Amino acid sequence: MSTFPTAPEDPREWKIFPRNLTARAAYIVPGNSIVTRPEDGVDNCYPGLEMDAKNIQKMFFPGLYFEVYRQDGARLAGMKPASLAQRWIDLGLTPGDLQDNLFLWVMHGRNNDLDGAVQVTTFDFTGKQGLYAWRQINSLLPGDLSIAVGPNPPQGQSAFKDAKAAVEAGANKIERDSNGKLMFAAMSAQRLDYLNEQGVLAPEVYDPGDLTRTLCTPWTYDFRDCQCFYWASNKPDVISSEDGQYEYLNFQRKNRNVEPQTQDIAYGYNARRQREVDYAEIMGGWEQLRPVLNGREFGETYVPPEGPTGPIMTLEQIKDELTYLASVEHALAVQYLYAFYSVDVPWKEPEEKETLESFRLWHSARTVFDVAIDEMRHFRWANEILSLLGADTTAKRASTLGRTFKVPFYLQSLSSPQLQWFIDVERPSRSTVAGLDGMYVGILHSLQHLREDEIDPEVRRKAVEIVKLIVDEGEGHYVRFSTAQQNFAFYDHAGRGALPGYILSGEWSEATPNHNPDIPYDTLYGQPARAADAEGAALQADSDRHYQALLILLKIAFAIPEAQISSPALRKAISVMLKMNEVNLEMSAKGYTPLFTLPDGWELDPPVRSSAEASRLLERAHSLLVKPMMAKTLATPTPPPPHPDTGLGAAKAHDSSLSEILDAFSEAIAKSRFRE
Amino acid sequence: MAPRLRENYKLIESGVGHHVFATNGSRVFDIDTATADRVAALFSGGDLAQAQLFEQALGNDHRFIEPEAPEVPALRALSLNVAQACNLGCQYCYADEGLFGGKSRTMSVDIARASIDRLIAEAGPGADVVVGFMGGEPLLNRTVVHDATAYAAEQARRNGGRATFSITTNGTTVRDEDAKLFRDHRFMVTVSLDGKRALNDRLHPDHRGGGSYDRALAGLERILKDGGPAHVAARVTVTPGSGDLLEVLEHMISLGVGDAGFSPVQVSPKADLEFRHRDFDWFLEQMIRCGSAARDRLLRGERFPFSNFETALHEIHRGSHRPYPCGAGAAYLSVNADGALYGCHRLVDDDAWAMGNIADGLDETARTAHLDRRHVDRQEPCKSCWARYLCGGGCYHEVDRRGRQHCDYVRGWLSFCIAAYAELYTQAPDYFVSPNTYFEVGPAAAPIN
Repeated sequence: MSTFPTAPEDPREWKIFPRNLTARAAYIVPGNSIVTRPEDGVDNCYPGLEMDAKNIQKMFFPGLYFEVYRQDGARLAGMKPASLAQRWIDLGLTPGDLQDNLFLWVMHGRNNDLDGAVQVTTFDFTGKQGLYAWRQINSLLPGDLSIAVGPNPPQGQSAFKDAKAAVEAGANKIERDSNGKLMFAAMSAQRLDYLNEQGVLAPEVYDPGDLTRTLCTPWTYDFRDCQCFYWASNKPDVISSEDGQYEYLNFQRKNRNVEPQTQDIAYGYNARRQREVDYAEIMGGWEQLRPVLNGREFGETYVPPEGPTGPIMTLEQIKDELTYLASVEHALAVQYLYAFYSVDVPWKEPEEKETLESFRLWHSARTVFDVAIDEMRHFRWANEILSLLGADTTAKRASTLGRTFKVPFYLQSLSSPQLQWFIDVERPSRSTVAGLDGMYVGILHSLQHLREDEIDPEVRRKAVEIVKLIVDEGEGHYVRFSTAQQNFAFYDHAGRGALPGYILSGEWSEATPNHNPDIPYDTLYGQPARAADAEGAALQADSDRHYQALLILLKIAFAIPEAQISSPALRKAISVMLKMNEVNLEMSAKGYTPLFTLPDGWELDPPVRSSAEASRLLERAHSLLVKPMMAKTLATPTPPPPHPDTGLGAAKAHDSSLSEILDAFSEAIAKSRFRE
Repeated sequence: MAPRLRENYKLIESGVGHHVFATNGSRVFDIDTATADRVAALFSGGDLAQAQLFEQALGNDHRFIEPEAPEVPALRALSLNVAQACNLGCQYCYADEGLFGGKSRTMSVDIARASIDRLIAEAGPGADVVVGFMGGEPLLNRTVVHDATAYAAEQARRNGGRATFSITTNGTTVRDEDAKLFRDHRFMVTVSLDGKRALNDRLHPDHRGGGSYDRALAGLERILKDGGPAHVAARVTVTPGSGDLLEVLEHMISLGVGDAGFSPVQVSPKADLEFRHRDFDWFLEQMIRCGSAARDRLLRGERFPFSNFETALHEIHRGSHRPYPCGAGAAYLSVNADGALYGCHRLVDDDAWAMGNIADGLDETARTAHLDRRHVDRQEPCKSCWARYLCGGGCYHEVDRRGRQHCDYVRGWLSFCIAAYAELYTQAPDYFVSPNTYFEVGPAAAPIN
């Protein structure tokens, strides 16, 4: 290593070179790396898609512009800029000659050989594609450059030979036949620099849009070909009409009128392409593409829906509303879970060898299960908001669902009407008075209208965040249930009625008359039924004990105001839920239904406001869980769930024995300061 | 004055020039002679402003290691002390011939299986796990080693991951069926052997005082047969009387093992076999001799797998930096014959390192407290040592029993290795860049900087 006799005063000027990997990774290299040079871009994928690097070299020869995206060669497409083109006009090449389709025949210039040495080469482009010429042009070094252009193919061998000789001699020469038609033009100049002296792309050479015209942006023709199956695309392929009447419309259709898609468009590539705007149309008239939001096309201007309207609630009303909503989340979670148990699907995802049909069925059932888990989370979140607002938390279960539905809580198999009811419950509404999410929107709206002397802004901020999460997930539920409904429809086409063939037998398929006028169906299927035999009764009792213990533990955990104490406690409680799930799965497979019986006196059970009250509840959970039948599992950890993907988080976090759970709760109660 | 530079940087001279080692991120820089003079002057009392500019020049603008202890990671590796008993009576054995000061015990199949269940449950779905067999001499409980291996492989597979296996054995009782197990399950096998026959038999006698060399070699031969397991390492335990270590090393490597390395006896029931402070000067000298021999052979393109040296070289190249010496108590634990969990296989049955049991689970409080307490930035005198993130603070077992008497040795050895790294990387970069082909292609093809 060369060395100075003395190093400079300033350590920043010392010769310090990073050697090992961490030193090199942390070393800030001055300037940009060479891969940021435009000519290093890969075709039209120049970093960030700011421009198509190919367009730079289309202007490689001063005063001429070549089009290279062609099978038949690099075509002389224009003479510009005018200041540089003038000398070729003076030589005798006229813009009129270009109408005869002139192509780049031959080029003579300097580039590097494979070892990097400079060489002078003649390139013959006849019979080659435009992009082949472009690659050679791209490798050209600055300096003397001669080219010849002429019609394809050359008019006789001698014309090409003469042109090549002229190019290699660096001559400027125009040859025409007896009719005055151009045979070839040989021209000699310096290779055009695409950067000017300031190092920027020469503005006198490139017009605005020249470098981007072949990119995948709406005003460039590649946009048409970018589709979601091929490349991460910034445009949709299929959208639905503004009024929602037509679910599947081609976004790029030529006819902007809304009309249903015909079969040939759905299945035929050419038929579809013919009815789409073509390259030229998309470059010239991209504005005709309409804005699309949430998969739906809108008119020329997107008008956002009006904000929620409705009465503003007081803080006390908000608390009441949330208390009710928490109990609704509980009810829905149980309803969905119950419905999931009724479907005859394996717990594990079917192996590949099975049919698409069985996978669809499994996936749809699983959607119902996953949404049930989401509702349990909403149950928790609603309680978190209550806790934030200083209200009593709740683990109760609503007896009627929804202000508009007024449907009593009931449990039923996942019959077709039941799935429809799930979809209706989750359907998004833009109103604060309709639908389940509307009630949350109303809370959101009201929270935002409370004055600062009514609510601490920090509390409001946190509460609003949680409500937004619940609303957003609710919209997802609607879509997921709707998709599940479509997938269920693939099953058992012929025999599908109110009670599809995928419902388990036994109690799950039993019909009972519906006496409730608020449910618009005559018959219910698979209502909870007490088992007549000993095995079923034992399983049902086991399921109920777990459900009741779970509710008690949740009630305690919700009531703990300190998040750092309540969160770990809630995670412990999930162990009990996993155990309940196991029992329920076993029971369902045998044709019995879970009962989901609430603990005795649950509706009247007072809120937890002291550690004494919490301890009393915990004692109750203890006696439920530690029955003789359960004793054998007391000291052993929960076996890992039957499938790793329970949707309940990693098995590890919930792998607690009953004694661990109870101990953790009693510790949590001791540490917590309950709201008196 | 800028005294802290010495705590965070080390000036090193090698055969190819001068270097600065930056503790933060274990970064190695080259500097010219004039700069080296400047840096030396700065270390011995430059002004604060200049010290700051120097740090700026090295790009020392963020901490590679957070001062706070990281969250306790999920358990990924568990060693099973399947036989807390041994057929040899090694004079120096830290494990007290596997008894760890207690009675001879062997692990039952049930405990072994439950340990593996616990490991897999803790590691989480889809995780790869490592199962180690330790002792004592683990093969004294052959049935459990075989059963637990098959069981762990199957359970890990069901969990969507893979199990890899390691075993440390004295080799004397290896049977063909064991060798097949190691082969089939791609074991990492470590054989304890102390040198040529005379030395080995003196330090490694059986309980009747007889030699174990021939039996150990026969075992090693069995292990290496038919392609052998994934890796076989020879571990030489060094006592102050071990003699010429280069001779020992060459002997070990000649036996056909994948690598061979040394470990000094720091904790032994027999005090005269333990290293004392002054013994480390001798040990450093011996290690540098071995390291220099290895470096010269590597430069010639010859394999010479001296594990202490090669591990250090690659860690220095990567810039490994860690606030702990190893994964003990974190992602690695050890289980005793009764199912109790401890920080590592050397700390088995030590109450201070108890970390739960396989039935009730890990003691997260103890693991958190351990990581919190043993962060090297909180150790004395480690927190002001330039080598702290390469060393991690030293083996818990040795430090707890003997204190940090070997620090000068560690610094001396690492200084040598950093210099050797610079020499090798300059003259044979492919050894680091393409280690898989370096010995086939040879240094001739490697460009010289």
